[in-house]
Amino acid sequence: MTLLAQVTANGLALAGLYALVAVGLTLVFGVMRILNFAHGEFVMLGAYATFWLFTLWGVDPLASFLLVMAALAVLGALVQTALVRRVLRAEHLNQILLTFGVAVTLQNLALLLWTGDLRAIKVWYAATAITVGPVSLSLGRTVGIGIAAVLTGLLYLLLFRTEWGRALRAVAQDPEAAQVMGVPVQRVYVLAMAVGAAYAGAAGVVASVTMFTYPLIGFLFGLKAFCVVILGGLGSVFGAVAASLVLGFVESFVGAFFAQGSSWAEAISFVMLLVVLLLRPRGLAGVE
Amino acid sequence: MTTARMVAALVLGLGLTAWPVRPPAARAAEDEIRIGAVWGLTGPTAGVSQEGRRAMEMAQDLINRKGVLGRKIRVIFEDDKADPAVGVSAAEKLITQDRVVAFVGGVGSTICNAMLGAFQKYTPRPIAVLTGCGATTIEQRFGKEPGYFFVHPWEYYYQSTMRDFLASLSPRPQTVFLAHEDRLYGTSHAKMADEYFREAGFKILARESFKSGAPDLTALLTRAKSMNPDVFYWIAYGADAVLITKQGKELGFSPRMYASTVQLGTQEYRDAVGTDNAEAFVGITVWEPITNFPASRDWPDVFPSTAEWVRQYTARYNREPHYYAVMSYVALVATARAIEMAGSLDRDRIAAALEKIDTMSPMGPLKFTPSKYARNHAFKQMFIFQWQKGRKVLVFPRDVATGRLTYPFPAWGQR
Amino acid sequence: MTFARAGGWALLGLAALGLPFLLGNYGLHLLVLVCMYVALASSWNILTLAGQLTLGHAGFFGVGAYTSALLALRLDVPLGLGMLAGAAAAAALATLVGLVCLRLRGVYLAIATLSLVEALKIAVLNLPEYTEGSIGITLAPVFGGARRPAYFVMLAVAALPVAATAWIQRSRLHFVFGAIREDEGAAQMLGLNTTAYKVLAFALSAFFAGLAGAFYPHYITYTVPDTAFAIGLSIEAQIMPILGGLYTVAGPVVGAVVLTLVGEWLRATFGAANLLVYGVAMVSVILWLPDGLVGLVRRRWRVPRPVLTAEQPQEGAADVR
Repeated sequence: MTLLAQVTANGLALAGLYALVAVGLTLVFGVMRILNFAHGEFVMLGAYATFWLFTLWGVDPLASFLLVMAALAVLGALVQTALVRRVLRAEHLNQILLTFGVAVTLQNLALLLWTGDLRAIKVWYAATAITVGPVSLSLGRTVGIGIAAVLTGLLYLLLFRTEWGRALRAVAQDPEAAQVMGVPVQRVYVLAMAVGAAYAGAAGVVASVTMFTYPLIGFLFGLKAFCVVILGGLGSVFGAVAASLVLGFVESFVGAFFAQGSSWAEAISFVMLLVVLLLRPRGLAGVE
Repeated sequence: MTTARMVAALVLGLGLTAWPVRPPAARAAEDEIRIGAVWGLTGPTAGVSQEGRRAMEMAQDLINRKGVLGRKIRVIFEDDKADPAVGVSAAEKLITQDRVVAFVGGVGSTICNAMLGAFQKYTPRPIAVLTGCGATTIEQRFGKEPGYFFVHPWEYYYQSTMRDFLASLSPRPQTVFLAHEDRLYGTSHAKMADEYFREAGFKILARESFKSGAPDLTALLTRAKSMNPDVFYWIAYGADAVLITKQGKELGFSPRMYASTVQLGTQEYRDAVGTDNAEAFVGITVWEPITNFPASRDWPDVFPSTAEWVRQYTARYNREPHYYAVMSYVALVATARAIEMAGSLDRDRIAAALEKIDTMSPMGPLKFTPSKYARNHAFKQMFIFQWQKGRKVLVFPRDVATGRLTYPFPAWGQR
Repeated sequence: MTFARAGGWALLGLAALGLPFLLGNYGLHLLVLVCMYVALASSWNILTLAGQLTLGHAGFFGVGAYTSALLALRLDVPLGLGMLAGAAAAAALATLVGLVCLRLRGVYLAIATLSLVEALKIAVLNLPEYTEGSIGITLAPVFGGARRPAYFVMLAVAALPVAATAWIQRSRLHFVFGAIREDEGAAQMLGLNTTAYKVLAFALSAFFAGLAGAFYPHYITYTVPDTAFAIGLSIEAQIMPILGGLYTVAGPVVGAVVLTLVGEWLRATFGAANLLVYGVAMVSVILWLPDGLVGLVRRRWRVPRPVLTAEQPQEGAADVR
């Protein structure tokens, strides 16, 4: 029972991280129908930004995460206006390869600029444990769960309680009709990519505190995030959160209760994805 | 028409591949001695590769102050992208185009295996002084070949030392939870550790693998904690060491001993987890900046004492040298010296000269001797270190120890 | 036109047969890699002809590699037989994938096939009793390590999917595949058994990829899951036909030749920065050469585009919720 409670807490913390990475990706897909292979690299850049702000100027990650999100939003907007905008009408293949090219570029830029060294932020709350009954969780990861919950909530509010949110949803449903209705479609696209990148940046902040960063870390997150958004149904913020929870819990349970579980956990998420796609070709919450 | 043009362009492109076979036209420095260095400059092994490259550049500068056979050496660095096929491309280019005398350095047993396979068909075969092949599979396959020199310790040197260390503890631990990353490095080490530990009477509670670089290892650690082992021993990379330390603390998992391999000994690790959290973690290594060896009597200019070498390296690069740095440095210097001793670029004479080297180096006594399967292998002595107050202290073998072991591991809650 | 085209291919064939006698080991090794990528790119292109956008070619390659390597290791099966078995195993897997993924379209299919490769890789890693796991399989060098005969084998392996594509373009399959690619529903209404044809495309494509995979470990003498199921292989198999020109016979060949050689040139020239340059080049190609080199040639010489070009596959309703 003690074990079960701890495993549940582990799963929740993992789910928070997955959700933070995935909601931005799913938003971008929902609005533009582009699968951004460079999303993981945005996470990597967010983690590096946090690391350097902390190392050079002593800015605490809790203070810098808004700054990092803003910086990543600007980067996302730039990538959108300079590159992605030009392939919106191209084939999916070309879109995938464009974002993949951006990913390769960013990875290797980071490698040349900051070397392949492992970096992590050492703040007092990173590994300090809070223990409640049988469950023990670090303050860093608890804060991570909190940030994930708050940011996902804010995204929900943005989508359903603001004018821009209405515009985002309108463009997602039918860009041409939205254009006719006077929605500035191109600007909405920029907004979507900026918000998506900002959320990736927030995930980077959490990663730099609870884990570490190095130039190739984006790939690890990227692949997992694809699983999450497809499981949840592309474009669905709610689905992405639900899928994160499912994956986080399943991986935690399998890893803790089965021999060789940690090694198989990864495959389980991919197999789950395949099974879900077979039963519902557009994901758990996808539109048929 | 279009297809014809395209295919013509294609043939032209194919013709470009003929370019390498032309004899290298009028090279600027025809008299320099070229040495090939294939590293994973991009891709997952980039960090270690940068360590090796830095040290080889430093060695090259020092060697060229006096030169070799009255000539300069030039190390040509090539990227293998951590892909064996690309490693072979790089090796073939270095042999046929750059006409390198020797290959020095490198990381990754997969690459090493493919590259050594490609060397086999050349006469004269290039000399190889390799830092990156630790897998016993390579030792069995290529170890007997003359002209191949191995600097990286084989798995069994690591694991037999760890076994002896654990057996020397008092009270003696009984149970071990063995965790390892799931690729070649972790798996083959763990297999060997499993075998050796069982022979010595330890009980292996589990041998679990995990994916290196995973964002979360709490599942594994929760599982380990529930089995309550005396020793938690893991074999993986630096990123995993950071996560295991942080999350072990988070879960309040306090076995009597946290032990790992050389990846635990880096400055990066200490900086990432913090001095207080690294406290009492134990690692096994072939070299640490604190293993203080005296200067070489034969070549004091290139092989100063460990302390002096570390000082020079740190002054040049503003960072503590990694064990890959010292391995690559020693390997390149040894190769250059052997060429000097051989008096020519004849491969057999260079190989014979390398076999004759017997001197002190910043990495310890340098002499290539037979190992289980290999003909020429250097550096068999391993050490156990422990983090104490942010510094590494040698704790085993006893005769070289620089401090007392903290044992058992002070529980997280009582620090 | 026909005459010129035949002349072009004859020239290419001559180069492919003649060059190995002019080249040293380095050049030969590059040619082997070129042929391997031609096989991958061409076979992947067969799937796209039928409108199936996949990102899992490394899976077929890897299954071919492991089948032939394990047969050689455990049963001493001769190379030729092992390669056939590897290709057949890949085709069998693809048949299954084709049947199972029938309903998936566009990016869903891409991600599903990508996931399949990852799952396969993890399975091979975690079943060492059967696959040798992460320790890998060491094999004796094929032809005693001689490069020239190895090259001719790989050349044959590469020629097969190219010939198959050319044959498809001339046969009834050309129209069937085109119809499925353009509008699957309409194709069904025309009475075409789209399921059978899609599965055929999968099996055919995987057979050739598996054949290349089956030879590769014998050539490089060693295989581990990370190299056999490398995600890079899937990406290259996709980018090469796009660079060369999709849906054509020559496109994947041109793309594979150019990209393999340019990649090697970048590696030898730019050192640690070579992948950075590669990434920038990739972005530039997509932005400025969206139709590939074939498209460039067509525009340059004002040749009209063939009628059969793909429209953006319809993704169905999307939404943000």
